[in-house]
Formats: sequence, structure tokens, C-alpha cells
Amino acid sequence: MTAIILTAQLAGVTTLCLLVIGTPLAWWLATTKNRFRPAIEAVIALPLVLPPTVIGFYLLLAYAPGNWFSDAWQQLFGSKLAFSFSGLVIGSVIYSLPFVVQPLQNGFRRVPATLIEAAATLGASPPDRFRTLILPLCKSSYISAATLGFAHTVGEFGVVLMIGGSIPGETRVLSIALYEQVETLNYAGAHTLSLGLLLFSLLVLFAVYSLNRSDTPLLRSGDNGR
Amino acid sequence: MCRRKPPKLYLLTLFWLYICLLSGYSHGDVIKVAVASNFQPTLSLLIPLFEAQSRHRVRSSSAASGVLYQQILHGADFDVLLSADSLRPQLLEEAGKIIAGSRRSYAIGELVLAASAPQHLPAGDSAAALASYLSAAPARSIAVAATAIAPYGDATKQVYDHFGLWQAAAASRVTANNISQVANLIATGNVNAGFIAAALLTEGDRQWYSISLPAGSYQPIEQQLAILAGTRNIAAARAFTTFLNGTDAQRVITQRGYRLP
Repeated sequence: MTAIILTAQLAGVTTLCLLVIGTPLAWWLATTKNRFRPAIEAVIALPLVLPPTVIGFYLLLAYAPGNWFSDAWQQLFGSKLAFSFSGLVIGSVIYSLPFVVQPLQNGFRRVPATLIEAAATLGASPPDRFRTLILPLCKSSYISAATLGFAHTVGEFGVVLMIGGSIPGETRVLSIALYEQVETLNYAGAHTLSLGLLLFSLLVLFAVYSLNRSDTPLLRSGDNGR
Repeated sequence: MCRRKPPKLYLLTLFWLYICLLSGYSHGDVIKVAVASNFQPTLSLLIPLFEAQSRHRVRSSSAASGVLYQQILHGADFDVLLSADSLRPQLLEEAGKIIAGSRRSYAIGELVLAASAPQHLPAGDSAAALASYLSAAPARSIAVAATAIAPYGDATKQVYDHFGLWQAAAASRVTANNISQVANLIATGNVNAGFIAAALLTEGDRQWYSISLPAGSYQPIEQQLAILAGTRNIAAARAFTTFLNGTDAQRVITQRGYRLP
């Protein structure tokens, strides 16, 4: 039960961080004509293709005392990163980044530039334009991004196995608990966790695909006007 | 476009031949060995010795004994198991997964407390120094292998239990999947110290510091081997297990920090 709560907490915090980081990043990617854009897009998409062990290995080195990153963190927050919840959040943010940035970027790209210009001419400030125009238009993209980011973090295994240390209530998330159940031949426990994860993932994906089918009419007209 | 095809095909064929050669296609039998993490470095020294005196080839894959046990129980295609304990080979024998009578000890493992700097170890070799070290260790500073799946993890728990500290010192421990991961966590500096097999100390050119643990604080880690019932290379597997109990192999095994059965 602690593993379920912990996993939900990890996925929730990660998703929040990802939405905060992902929004400006995706907006920049959707609107920029910078020639380095493909390079940045490639870097963000890396977790899609890299084995989690690559991320786990580099994080293991980065979290070790004596490394500049881990020392800076220790200075700022006074706590160790290795085997901690914060350490897992950083790992998960990297691991799930493309799952949030890519849907947002696609959503932002579909907002007609003419609409934003019109709002600007009518005197709407950039934050106003974002809140009253872009956010409602991209609602389904935000829901997709948040659900995918959340679900992908729930499904995280390799990274956590390498940097987590399996501490109950802190780093022993569902996938690790499940792995330990299987390795200790506790198949009844393994079935419960596996079935739960299976149903959860199916529901999440079903929700995302349903949302993608029913975009708001305004967005469709935006597509036509592109 | 058409003119480019033959060279590509040619290259592809060459590549395929190369792969075939690599996989030892034309040699004697290939023995697939499932080996417990602690013994992998020793095995990699033993394999060339064996291959020099035999036409068979050995391919090994290593994991925690519990993981290997699982894989074999579910029909993994190995010929020989080198476990880090005697319990799992025994269970496999009861399940009819190994050839009856093939189970025997090949090494006795020693557990040590290891660190990459001397100041991270107890002040002395005495049991009292170890007990006060374990009870005063900072949070998340000591790595142990998972007790339920790694025999060296189980021995580690016995050491803690010996001092009555398993519960009391829980906050100072992090759990790794096997002793190789414990060694990794020490080597990268993510923990101060950890419990690993003495055999791992001699691996590579890394400088380790370690203390041995009080006599009787854990049961001897009797490592057993077995030939799997599903093997198709029984003669080769027997040749290999006989080699492991021979003098050449035993010299290497003792040099690596094991005792002989």
C-alpha cells in the first residue's frame, strides 16, 4: 500500500514539474525558427530511445558526493540526492520529459498565429493571451501531456532500480515492489500488483486516445486556417 | 540504385559470417553457464584455463542467485548453474530441474564489509567496533544486497541479527539488487560502505578497504553447482564441472578469496 501511495506521489510531483518546465520549452519549440531547434528536439526525445540504464548510470555518478551537481544540491537543500525521493523525481523528470513536451508542442503548433495576433491587437498581454486563449485551446493537449507523463513515470523501472536503493516509503515504488515479489516467488502479490498496473495503464491510454479523437471544434477550425 | 545492391548484399553476407564465427559456430559444444554475481569475476579467469584444455567453449551470464533460480525454474536454456548458495540448487533438485547427483559444492564464500576509503570502516577488527559502527552509521550510508534473492544479502542480515541490529539500523541501509550493485554503489561514492563477497575485492585494479566479519556471525556461504536437467551438452557440462573441482581451478578459486569445500 505504501508503494502505491509513493508511486502516485512520485508520478504526481513529476508531472507537476514537467508541466512547469514543459510549457515554456514546448512553446519555444513550437514557435521558434532557430536553426538549433532540431538538435534541442533530439535531446528531449532521447529518453524515448535510450535504455533507462544509461540515465541510471549517469544519475548514479551525478548523485555521488563530490560531484558538482550533488554538492550544489546539498548546498541548496541540505539533503543527499542518492536514494531519496527528490533524486527519483529528478530521474523521472528526465525520463518522462518527451511524453509531456511533445503533446504540448503539437498542441501549441495548432493554435493559429492569426488568433494570437488578433488578441494582441485587442490589447491582451502575453500572460492574458496564454490564460484566456492558448490554455483553453490546448486543454486536450495538456490533459494528454499530464496523463502520459504521469503514466510513464508509474511505469518507470530501470532508473529507479539503479538509483533508488529500495527504501520503503521513500524509493520502493510499485515497479520495484513488484520485481521483489516476483524474485521472492510471491506470485499472489505479484499478480495483484501486475493486474492493477495493467488496468491502470489501459485506462490511461484509453482516456488519452478518447481525448485525441474529440478535439474542440475551435481547434479544428484552427487546423483549417493553418 | 540497382548497381548498389550487390555490394550491400556482399557486406551483409560477410557480416553474417562474422557473427557466425563469433558465436563459435564451428567449434565444440558451447556450455551455457548461469553464474551468481559474486563468482563472475573468478569464472572469467577460469574460462580461459578450461578452454585451453578442452575443445568446448563456455558462455556465462550472471545475476543474483535468486534471479537465476527463477530463470531456470521457468525453463531458461542453461547447462550449468553456479549458485551462491546450496538452498537454490537443492530446491531445483527437488523440482526435478537438475540432473540428480550433479549438485556439489565448489567454493565457500566469505562476506566482508568493504569501503573505498579506510575512514569509512569500523575503527578496529573487533566485534564491538563493528557493532558500534553499524548502530551509529548515518542514514543511507551502507549498501546491502537484497536479502530474499541474494545469498550474500541473507548472510548480511545474519550479521546484523547477530548484533540484534537489523531493525534498529534499518535507516542506515540501502538495498541493492545483488552484490555487484553493492560494489557499484560503494565505488561511485553513493554509500560509505557495503557488504560484499571477499572475491569482489580482487576484481579490477580498484583499491578497496575491507574488514572480515566476526567468526560465527553468519553461516558459511556454501556455493553449489549443478548440471541442469534440460542440458543437451551433458558430456561438456560434466567436463566443466569436473574441471571446477580440480586442482587448477581450485588454486584460482582460493586466490580469489574463497575457501574450498
